[in-house]
Amino acid sequence: MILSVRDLSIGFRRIGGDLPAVDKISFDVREGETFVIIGESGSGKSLTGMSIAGLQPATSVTSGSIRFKERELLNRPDAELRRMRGREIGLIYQDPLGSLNPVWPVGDQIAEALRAHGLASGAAAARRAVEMLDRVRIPDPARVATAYPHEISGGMRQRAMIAMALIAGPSLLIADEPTTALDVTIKAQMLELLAELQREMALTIILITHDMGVVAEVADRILVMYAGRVAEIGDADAIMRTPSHPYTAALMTSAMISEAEPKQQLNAIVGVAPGLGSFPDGCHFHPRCPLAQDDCRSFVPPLRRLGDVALACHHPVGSDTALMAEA
Amino acid sequence: MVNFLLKRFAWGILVLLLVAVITFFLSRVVPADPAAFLAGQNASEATVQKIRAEYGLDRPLTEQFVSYMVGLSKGDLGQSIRTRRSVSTDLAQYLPATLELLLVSFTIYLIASFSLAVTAARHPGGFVDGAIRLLTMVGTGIPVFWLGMALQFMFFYKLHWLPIGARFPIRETAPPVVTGFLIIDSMLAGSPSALLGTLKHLALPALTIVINLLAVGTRLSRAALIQEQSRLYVRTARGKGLGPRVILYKHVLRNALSPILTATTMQFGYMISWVILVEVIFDWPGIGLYAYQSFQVFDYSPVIALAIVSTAGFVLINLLMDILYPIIDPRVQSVGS
Repeated sequence: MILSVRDLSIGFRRIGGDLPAVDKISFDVREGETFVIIGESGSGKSLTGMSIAGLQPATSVTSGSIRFKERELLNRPDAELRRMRGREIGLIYQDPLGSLNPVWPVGDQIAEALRAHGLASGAAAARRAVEMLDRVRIPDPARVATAYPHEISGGMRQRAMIAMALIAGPSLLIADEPTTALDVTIKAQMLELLAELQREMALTIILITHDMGVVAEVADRILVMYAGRVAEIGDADAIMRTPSHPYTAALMTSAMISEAEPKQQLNAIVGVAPGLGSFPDGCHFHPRCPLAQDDCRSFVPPLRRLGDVALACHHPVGSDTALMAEA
Repeated sequence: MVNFLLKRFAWGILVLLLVAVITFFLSRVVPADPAAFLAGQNASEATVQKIRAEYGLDRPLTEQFVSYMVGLSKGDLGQSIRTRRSVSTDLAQYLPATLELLLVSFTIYLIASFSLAVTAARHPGGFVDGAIRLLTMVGTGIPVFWLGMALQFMFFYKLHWLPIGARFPIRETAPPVVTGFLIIDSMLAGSPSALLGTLKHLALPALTIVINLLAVGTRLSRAALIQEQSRLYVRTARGKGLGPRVILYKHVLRNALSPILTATTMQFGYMISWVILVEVIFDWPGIGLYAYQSFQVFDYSPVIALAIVSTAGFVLINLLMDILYPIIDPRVQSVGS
């Protein structure tokens, strides 16, 4: 187990009580796997991912435990986490243009990750940045290294971000919606590249996405998050084959619809995900759930095992066909 | 880039021309008679008439305008009725004093507002941030003339630390004029005591200008820094393990420089207008005091010339900024070219 998260809660401080954004979630990530966290915006998935590297907003309060390679990371001093970021945990983000500094050349920003950890300096660091650009399959890496972020394409920028995240040799890569800003062909290339680098560098990848298509492509295991809580977690194939949580099932359906008719996207789930501070009582999903019953409205479903997966649902899909028909 | 600068330069010339035209007519609109001022209270009408003729003030307005513009095109700024010298000669004498005061003030202002902004932006909303805000606001809230007099009272009258009036100790011999900048001239003369005397005389007027500009400059720079600190690339920088120092000085600062430069340009404009007041308060023999004395007797030519000179200063500083922007932010260059 490379990473163990236990009862992680993240809230935002407000006058009159903290707003919970992530509510006591627990999961393990195994060495070498691709662990996908999927959820809609506002589900707390990115916040969870960022908190692993201690990059959650300064205004948030966290509790619980995040153990990475047997070391506790949660609420450690920033100076301590700093030594680990880039060196042991690499990160890539949703918006590569905004995530790169506009006023410094790309190569310099990549080399910086080496310099930050004293792994190389000056010309040696610059040379290794060019090598790394080559490793992420960027043509003419020497030219791209001297270019500014606005001078290269979106796909190249994300490749450069990957180079930056991996140059100092981390064993865990947290990829926060890395393909969202990219078009479909580039997206496929990017996932392929990540898979290749994972093999070459023995990486563990935590991939955060809202895109079921991405999940099907790369996931070993999945964590489905809804409104700050775990809905379902477990083996990717098992979940994709027979989703047990009504929310997962709805996500799968919407993914299928959007594949067939791209404009129909997300219509499969009625209503919208609740915003921060307006999470309902009981199961957070109940207002949108076709299978919801009285107990869903009042009691938080505990996470329980069901074959290869664990899920938090009082009335999983397929458990009660009579009720389903009625709904 | 060269093309762009040439365009800006031509634009600047046009602005100067407009300023000349506007100030020419504005000064003539004022119902005043410089010739009468010059002739004195007891002068006969004939004497006044003679002076009018001498300076061409008896001619029709359009004729005066044409002859002024013709002179201007040849670099002739006209004659001062009060000093009875050409305005160019006067400017050559007074301009260095003002430039020296402006440059010294501007340098101190840049360093002070910048370091205060960086300090304040480190913990926005913290105690240090609040203290800096309070102090700079108080400084800016105080009117220039009152601040100038308060500083004189404190450091000259009470403490006897610093002199007031003029640019140089009155009992000492000033270094030979080479550049007109006393700091440079006293260094050229190799005289530490002259340099010290010059700096002591510069201290209070410069301080007055700086204190008045500090609050706005500090707050604008602070805001720019704080805004940049919330950008995504800052998270990226943290994500690769960079420390707060590198993030601030390498990543945030360079991005914040463009808005800071814009603010600085405007502040320089304010500085040009403050300098007249400060020179009057401190009896500083520069173009501000010259302007004030010329205004008092409705001496047209110096007033127009000073409007042109101060506009030229503003145009020049804008041109300088246009050159600096693309150096600071590579994205600007690709837009311009």
